[in-house]
Amino acid sequence: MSRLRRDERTVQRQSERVVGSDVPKIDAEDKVAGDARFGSDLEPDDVLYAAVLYSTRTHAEIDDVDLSPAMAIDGVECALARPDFMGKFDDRVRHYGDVIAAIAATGPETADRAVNAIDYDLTPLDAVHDAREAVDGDAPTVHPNNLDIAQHAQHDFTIENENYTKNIDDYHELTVGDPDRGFEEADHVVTGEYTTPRVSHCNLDTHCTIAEWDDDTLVLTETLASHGRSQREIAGFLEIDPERVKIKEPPSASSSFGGRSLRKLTVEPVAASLAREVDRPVRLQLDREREFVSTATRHQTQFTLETGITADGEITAMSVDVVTDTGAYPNGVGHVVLKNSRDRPLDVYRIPNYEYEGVAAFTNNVPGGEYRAIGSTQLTFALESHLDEVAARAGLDRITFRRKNLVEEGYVRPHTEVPIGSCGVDDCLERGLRRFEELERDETGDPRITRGWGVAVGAHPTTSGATSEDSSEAILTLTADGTVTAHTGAVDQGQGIDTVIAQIVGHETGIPTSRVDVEPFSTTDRFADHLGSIASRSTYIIGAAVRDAAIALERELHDRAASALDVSADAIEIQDGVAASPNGEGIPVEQLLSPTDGDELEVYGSASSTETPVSYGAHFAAVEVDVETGDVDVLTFVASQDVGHAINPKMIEGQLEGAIQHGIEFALYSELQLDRGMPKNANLADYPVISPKEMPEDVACEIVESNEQSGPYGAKGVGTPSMPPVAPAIMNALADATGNRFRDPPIDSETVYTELSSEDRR
Amino acid sequence: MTEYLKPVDRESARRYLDEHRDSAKIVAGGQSLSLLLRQGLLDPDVMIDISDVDEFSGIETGPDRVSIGAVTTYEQLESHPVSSTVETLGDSVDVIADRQVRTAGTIGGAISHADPSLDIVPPLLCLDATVRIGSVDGERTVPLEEFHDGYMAADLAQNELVEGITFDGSASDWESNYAKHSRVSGGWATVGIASRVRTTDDRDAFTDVRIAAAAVGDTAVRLSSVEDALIGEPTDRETVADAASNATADIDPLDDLSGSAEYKKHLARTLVERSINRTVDRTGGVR
Repeated sequence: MSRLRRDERTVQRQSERVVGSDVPKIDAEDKVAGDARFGSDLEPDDVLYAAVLYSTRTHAEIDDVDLSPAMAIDGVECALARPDFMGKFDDRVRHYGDVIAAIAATGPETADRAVNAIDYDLTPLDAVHDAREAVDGDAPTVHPNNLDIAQHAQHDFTIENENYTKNIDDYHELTVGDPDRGFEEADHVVTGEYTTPRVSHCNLDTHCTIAEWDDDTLVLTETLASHGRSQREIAGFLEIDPERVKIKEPPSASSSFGGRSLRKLTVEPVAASLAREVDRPVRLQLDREREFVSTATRHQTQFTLETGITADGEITAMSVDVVTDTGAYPNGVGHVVLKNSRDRPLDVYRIPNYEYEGVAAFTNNVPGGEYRAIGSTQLTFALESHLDEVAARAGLDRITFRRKNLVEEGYVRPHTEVPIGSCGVDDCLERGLRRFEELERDETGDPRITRGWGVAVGAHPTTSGATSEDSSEAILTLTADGTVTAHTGAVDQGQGIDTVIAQIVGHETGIPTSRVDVEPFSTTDRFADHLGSIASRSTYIIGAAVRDAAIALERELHDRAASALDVSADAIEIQDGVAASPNGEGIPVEQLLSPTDGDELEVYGSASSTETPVSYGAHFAAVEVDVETGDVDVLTFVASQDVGHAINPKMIEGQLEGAIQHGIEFALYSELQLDRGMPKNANLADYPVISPKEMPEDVACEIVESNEQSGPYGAKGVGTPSMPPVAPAIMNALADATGNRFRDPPIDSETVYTELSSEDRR
Repeated sequence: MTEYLKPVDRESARRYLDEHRDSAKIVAGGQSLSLLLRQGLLDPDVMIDISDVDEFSGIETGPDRVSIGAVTTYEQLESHPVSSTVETLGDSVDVIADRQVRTAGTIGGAISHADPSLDIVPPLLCLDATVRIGSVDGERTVPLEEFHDGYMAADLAQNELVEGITFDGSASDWESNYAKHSRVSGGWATVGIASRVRTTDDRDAFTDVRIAAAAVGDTAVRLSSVEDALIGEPTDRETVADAASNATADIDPLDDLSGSAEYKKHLARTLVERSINRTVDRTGGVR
């Protein structure tokens, strides 16, 4: 097992420019040409098509469901009402888009028609749609506190806050030092309230699963990035043995951004129940409206922050209060929102006295769920907005104030005994600012235009930190045609992990990356990886396991070539798949397979880490506001990001640019609007998704390498950590441009115009 | 089950519609219709797809008339010279939805759909366009301004369909523009303003002014209060700004997802001013 040190080998191999170079994404050509086959492209011959009757009420008892009119339709093979589904389904619907009944039929249109034929009666129940109201003793009950429907690893909690009595999904508190004294010592104390929007992932490919039963084993074909957890949670909900759930990834994984990290109660258990009933594969695909209302959005969250600082800008105390909306089911890891909001301030700033309280509440809203840097994105928007307000109150420069309080390598955070490892945050600020200044524009001179700039710092850990040790395994197989097949726990949802795997194999073995095939993950594979491609762990821990296997393969090939060429193993160099001795004699690696191998040579690798290294970013935005319309245009964005080590700089730029897009949407555009739980814009005509036209004209990525000692080649995560600083950088620029602080994104043109033209300002 | 008919000539299209009347929906490009079908707001027994009818296709330019067939796509209009000579048309098509929609969506479909937010309508109102309507009884024409007679409502009998639109495109001394505000590029218009003006030879006074607005009421409308305030007046920015403030006299927007009525009124004034100024700038006049 590799314990991952950046060693001599790395330095030696750098010259070959595989790890560290812009290898083109190995799946790009297929995807651009339309040849890639995603989950929704799969339609097995004997498959039945599911259609689901969804609730248009936000809270109701199901009194009666008459399926007979649906069953009478030719082609309908099965109809089930919710109480007859497998597992922990009950007879109540709890949000718009919740499931009442389902059909399996020989064609999708027949299934849709049959759904429309179902007769049913619901008795409406009182509903609650605000997380703060939901925890009150008088609120309607959505679920009992700390509901256990086998969804995620919850922990026991006791709540001392007497205001929090009902509908509690999760609760966290933390006190560090002496917050009261810290606030007393402060020269300035600033308080601010902030909220964050329900944002939908808007994945291009809507959720689609094919469920079939092989005897007592449920086989699901779909993209589920966290396969181990999904297995456990689906099994737990269906009340079967986790070993009896198998997940097969389609040839090409669909995009996720967290939207496909975990199972959805409205998808897999429904398809599994139908498939069990008819004993045939059943395909359930959501349409776009269901994608909005029957999966999950980013948790809507309310923050109250209070910070005390000395006159010269040293933070003496901070208090963070969080109320987050879990929605109707714990689909969605309210626990993680709370944990990440709790820890992030302490990961970024030196805060000697700190108090935190967070509650996640069940409501009759669309469930919250995983979404790129869950919790950290929400908290960082609030915190970095707040710190700008703190700096302004004390008359301090925004960057100087932050730099004075930032953590650094070796700093021991007060809530954990683990010192911070690699920490490039100060470099991120310095290099980001320099680049940002280079991109500064001349003034327009147009009185209708006002401009401003903003900065925000953010962080997110690599790996989820859910367990004390994270580990992964990999198997590499060299075959007689000279290709290496990689079996790993990774799911390439577009982030490029398959390319990184090919790079690592090529880098270590000397076999060209073009001859490395990365197989889609399947839980029928012979090794364990519980978490899959979530939490920016793929390159860090799966990449490390691949590297361990690749080193083993290279050593084996060296030994064999040494025997064949009659030289010492140290003297062998493998390049372009040919093992050569110093005298120029060479032998293709596939000819090193021996009769005892069968047709292939298989090696195994693994890696583990007890660390959860933090990846830092400092982002800068310049915005322009049209004062006559309130339109906000992000002109320039610099994402300066500490990635540990850049294995593929071009793909990192892709990640950063994608984060900028998601962050602009969070700040200025995207929100699933609910009116007492009823969606107002659950379609792509009314829900704003940005295009390249809303992207900044100038986008620059600064890649900072802090050399994470526990990561392969020094690498740590980039996909999720690049997300949190984006929105606050833009919101801080908007505040700078307008002189007004907007605390409740997304901020549309009308909101800006209304504020700029309000009487108070004139 | 819905019956899907695909006539290949005008006569059969008219005949099918006459047979099925209000149990049928016409499919031109399907870009608005398919949303309504998907949302379950429409469930027609018969769909009559006229996209293969040659007589309804293409753009004809004569010495003084431009005639656009109903199933002409936005993309075809965009790549036709008329989009350069009549700039408000080109401006408008440029900001309609996305390339996929522009490739399939049609001019006739838009006009028949009668959504007050459609970007193509204000430019056509500024061109005093006439709608050509067909049925088994023959053809009649109606000015576009009268054709849309209520929210998503059009002056069409049950057996009539839009076959094309015609306007006078001969005058080369007009300049025009379309200015749009939307939540995201390609999104529904919060407000859209088309302007088309003619000035004196020395370009310092307006001789003809046509202004029309989308997304400001039940139908797209001409803003005659602004037009009247400009005809014969100088083209300077102050005069334009004063006239633009009249924009709210002719509009009656509603609060909806794209914005409040108050904001839309403000945007209408702002965009009218901007659109006219851009149009005047296009005349090349010194101001």
